[in-house]
Amino acid sequence: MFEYILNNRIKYAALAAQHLTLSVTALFLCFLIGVAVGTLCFKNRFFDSVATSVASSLRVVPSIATMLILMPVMGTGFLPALFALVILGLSPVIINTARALNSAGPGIIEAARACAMSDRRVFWRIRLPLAAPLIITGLRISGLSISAGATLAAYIGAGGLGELILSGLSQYRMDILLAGAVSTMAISLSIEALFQLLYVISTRYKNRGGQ
Amino acid sequence: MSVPDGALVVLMGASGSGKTTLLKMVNRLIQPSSGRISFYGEDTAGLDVIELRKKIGYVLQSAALFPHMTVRGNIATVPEILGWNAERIRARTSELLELMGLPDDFAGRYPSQLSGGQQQRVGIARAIAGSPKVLLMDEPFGALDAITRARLQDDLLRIHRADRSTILFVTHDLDEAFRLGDRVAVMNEGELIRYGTPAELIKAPDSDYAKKLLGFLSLEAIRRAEERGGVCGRPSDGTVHDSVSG
Repeated sequence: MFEYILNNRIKYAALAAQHLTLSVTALFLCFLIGVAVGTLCFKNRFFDSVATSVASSLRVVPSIATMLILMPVMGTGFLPALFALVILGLSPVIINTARALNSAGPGIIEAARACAMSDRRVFWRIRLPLAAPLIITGLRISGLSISAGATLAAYIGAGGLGELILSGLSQYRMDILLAGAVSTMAISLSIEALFQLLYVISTRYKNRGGQ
Repeated sequence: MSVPDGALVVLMGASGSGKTTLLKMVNRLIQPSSGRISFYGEDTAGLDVIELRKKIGYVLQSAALFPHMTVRGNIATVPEILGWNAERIRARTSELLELMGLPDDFAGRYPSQLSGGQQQRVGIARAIAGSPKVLLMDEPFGALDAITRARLQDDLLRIHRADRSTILFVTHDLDEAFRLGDRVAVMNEGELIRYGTPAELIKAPDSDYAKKLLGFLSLEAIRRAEERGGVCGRPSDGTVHDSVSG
């Protein structure tokens, strides 16, 4: 496996870069859209019930199906793959954001309002920072689905490490297949580690255990 | 019911008697369904709610500190909204920590690192940081053990004596009411049934409910109220007396 990677450095680096670009862009879009939609859910109860159930059902749509269905409309390559991955990763971010913004206790919110905070200030200074750990957890779950799902992008010509898995499969070359699979796992683990770190940072105020 | 400037008025009554509701109507956390509340001569309903709250400090039973902010951040909440500069906020924080009997290095701690009593001290410091005209306290010592509670009661009296801020204090604890209050308002089922100095209440309870309630008052509290009754022979125009012997 390592031998294959070393002998095909340039191709491997290009595929890994494609995989990363696709995953990171999809995750970033999930962050923007998910937090925005989650905030709307928090502000409007009716919107909340509609959006969270739509979000939950989005999650069960197989990405490969989304990509193939979109082919006539969006063609092949980066964009339809991105679209499918955003659909795949959106739901945990939306649902966690909507729930997390409500997680500050009523006493805390009352104290904030009594301290002459405007609603906008309560949101930015109190609700959002207190929601951060749960939102980060949502992004972590979403990031893991996206990084694994990005291997499917190879089916519609968007490249990525899935290409190694596919060619490994078709050529019965276990080393190529493993190069793709193990690298994908490494990316997933990095995402996991990154968001665990962010989580720890965002909860550092909790239980610092006295002197 | 009118609260004289500089007085410590206790709202007392059983659970569900409406004392907390009354308190929250003062800073408009709850809108009154009828009647009006005047704040220094102006109907609060006509005032900008943020401006009103800048002048009213609020302490809850559970200190309700912002858990993600340090002690300094919590205390700085209102000063930041008032637009103070960093230097002034830092000076005020140190001043308040000292006033509340907390070491200066507590400023960088998070609420989870403090005991219940320390949290409530920070809660009070946060409420008075912007030097509000009126301080509302909703059973602030209710969740504390007896020793900590007594200590904080002493501190509150000390602070009140020093700065003569107007305080509205809600409690269901009779002894606490008579210990702290220049005046005590007794509430029952949403109505104010008696309002006067502790000594007046003991001499003339005026209603069956007030009489029944006073039956639960400890002898110690009665003795203290009668002692104070001599000192605070308060003029009826509501001007503030200048000495309370605790």
